[in-house]
Amino acid sequence: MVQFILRRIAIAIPTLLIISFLIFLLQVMLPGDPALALAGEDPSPQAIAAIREKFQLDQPIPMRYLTWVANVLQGDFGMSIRTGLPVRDMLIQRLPVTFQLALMAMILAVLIAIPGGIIAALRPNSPLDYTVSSFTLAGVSVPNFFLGIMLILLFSVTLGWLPSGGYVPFASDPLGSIRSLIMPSIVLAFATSAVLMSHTRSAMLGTLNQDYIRTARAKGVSEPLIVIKHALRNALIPIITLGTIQFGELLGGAVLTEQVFGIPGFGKMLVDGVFSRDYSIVQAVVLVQAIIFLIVTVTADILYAVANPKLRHQ
Amino acid sequence: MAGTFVGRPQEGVLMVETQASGASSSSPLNEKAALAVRGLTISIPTARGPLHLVEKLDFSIAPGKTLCIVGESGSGKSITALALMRLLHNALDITAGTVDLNGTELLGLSNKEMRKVRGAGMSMIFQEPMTSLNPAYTVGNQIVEAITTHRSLSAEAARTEAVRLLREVNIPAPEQRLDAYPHQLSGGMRQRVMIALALANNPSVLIADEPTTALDVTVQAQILELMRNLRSRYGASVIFITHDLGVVREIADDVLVLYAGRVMEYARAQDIFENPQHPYTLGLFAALPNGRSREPLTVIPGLVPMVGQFPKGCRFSTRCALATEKCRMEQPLLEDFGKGHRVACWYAPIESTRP
Ligand SMILES: Nc1ncnc2c1ncn2[C@@H]1O[C@H](COP(=O)(O)OP(=O)(O)OP(=O)(O)O)[C@@H](O)[C@H]1O
Ligand code: SF4
Ligand SMILES: [Mg+2]
Repeated sequence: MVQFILRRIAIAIPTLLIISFLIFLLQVMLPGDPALALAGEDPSPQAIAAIREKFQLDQPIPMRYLTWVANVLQGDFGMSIRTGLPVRDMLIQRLPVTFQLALMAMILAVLIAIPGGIIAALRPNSPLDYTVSSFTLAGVSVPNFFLGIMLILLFSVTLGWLPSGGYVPFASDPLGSIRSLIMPSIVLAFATSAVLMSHTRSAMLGTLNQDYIRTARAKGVSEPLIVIKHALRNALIPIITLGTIQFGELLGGAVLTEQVFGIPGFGKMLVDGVFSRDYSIVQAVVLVQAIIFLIVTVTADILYAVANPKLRHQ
Repeated sequence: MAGTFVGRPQEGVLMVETQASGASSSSPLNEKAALAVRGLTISIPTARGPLHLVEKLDFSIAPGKTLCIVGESGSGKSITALALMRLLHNALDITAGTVDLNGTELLGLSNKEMRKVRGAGMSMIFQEPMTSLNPAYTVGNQIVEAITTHRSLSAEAARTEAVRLLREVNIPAPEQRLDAYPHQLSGGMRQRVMIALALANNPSVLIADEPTTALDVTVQAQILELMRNLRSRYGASVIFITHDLGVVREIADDVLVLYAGRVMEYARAQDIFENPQHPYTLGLFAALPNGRSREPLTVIPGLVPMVGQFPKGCRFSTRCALATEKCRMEQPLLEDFGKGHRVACWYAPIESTRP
């Protein structure tokens, strides 16, 4: 098992190197001279040369890549071209916001999807099952921004129960912080739970038809135990993988949702970076997203193996 | 002749006489039967009314005896077994009959009461050892569950009991095996675990639905031997479903020949083997070289008719060499030709015409 985990991590490293190189190339291949962009209005040739040297733009590309990697490994993601502030500080600000949002959305999604999927699988083709199917369809087809606007109209504008946007930091006011992220988490959980629920339903339908379920019934085991201990335990194996990947996607930042609710998260950082042509920000966000995604896929594989005795004992 | 352990006299195994014109109400009930089934009918609802997959099944088993149910694929053996456990697929219903286990009518029990019977009064071993154990839990977990579902034992006592059961079914190093997952065991070992599960609460009736079919021949023999030993040790009545007439010859006290959901012949094993009466039974024996066969019963020409396309008269009439117009039009009743030897054929006894 330990060997499996180490091997899985080892496989991820070359992938990471390739991705980081591509992200780096992106910067190199951008049109226009970054030194000119950095130097500001009407620069003197000396100023440009100074910037070239400062940012090592005069070095060959492989050297620049190595320097860049070394910097990133030390947590140095460069400076924002617009604000002149370290990108790292922005990352440190934004990541926890997106993490909190992703976590809330995921918890909500699991709480909806797992019971919903089980109930649908227990009574296939019943009205309850059709309700669940309609929910799934709505979840995958209603656009996030639309749902977000509707929720704002209902809960903020009409009822006045929740703030229409903005973010309260968790450290300063935990309850207020959760309140500020309730609507965006609902929006994100809606689509996430829809996919998770339909997978839970079909996984449960599959396991409930297995021979070992019949064995458990023949032993006299009660129905709730059959559903939870025998069927769900096995159905969860693929569900855990899916859920982990979904969580990774949420961690990557929800561009539209963060935009609609004005949440200073990771997705908004990316959008702002793109709109202001702040390439060092875009580069850092894309790189961190890639790293998160790799970590998540490795975690998903490991969890799959942990949940599956057949793999655990190899 | 019927093997080493059928030596005891069997008076009273098949007792109630069927009248010549008897309907299913006169079933072979045994006063001291562990299990008595009367008029069991299993149906599948269709737009044109229920179709009977198994019809008016009557049999009973005395304590400690073994009944073998034989018949070709699709004749209704498995659904009969599942119906006794009340584990039929949702699509199928028991539409008539009674199942009496030691004086308790099972079909009238609530689901909760029935759960107390399953795995305790009556348990079942399945045809598919590879898939019948839950892959997510250890063998020990699954045996302990079988024990504690019906008995309140401490975790430690249940574990000790589980080790004992594994030892009973001849699993080597039982303490270690307790922590094994099913995928770490061979098919034969898994079937032994299934037997241990089934015996966990000392059931009075054990149903084994082709327990050796999926295993290779040497393992088949071992499992069979194990079941024979355990049967005499535990004193359970056994319903043994099989394709293998060689096995029937070794272990059966009584034999029930099922065809297209109907009983064709039902008698003591000795009578069936020495004096088979029904043309279908004779056909099965023709598929039995030197009295032993490991092959499925497929030698009778033709196919079992599809459910819903059963002939109006005798179910076997589409394939029977002796069939007449009467056979095709009218269904013969299961009649007793003496000593409880029952045959459903218009031309029984058929000594003279026997091939
Ligand atoms: N869930 C179901 N829905 C519809 N028909 C069914 C169902 N289960 C069984 N049947 C039908 O009932 C009949 C008897 O099936 P059963 O499984 O009892 O046969 P069997 O005698 O055990 O055969 P085998 O020797 O192959 O195990 C078959 O015609 C089968 O198609
Ligand atoms: S009743 Fe007729 S068709 Fe049926 S088994 Fe007897 S002889 Fe054959
Ligand atoms: Mg079967």
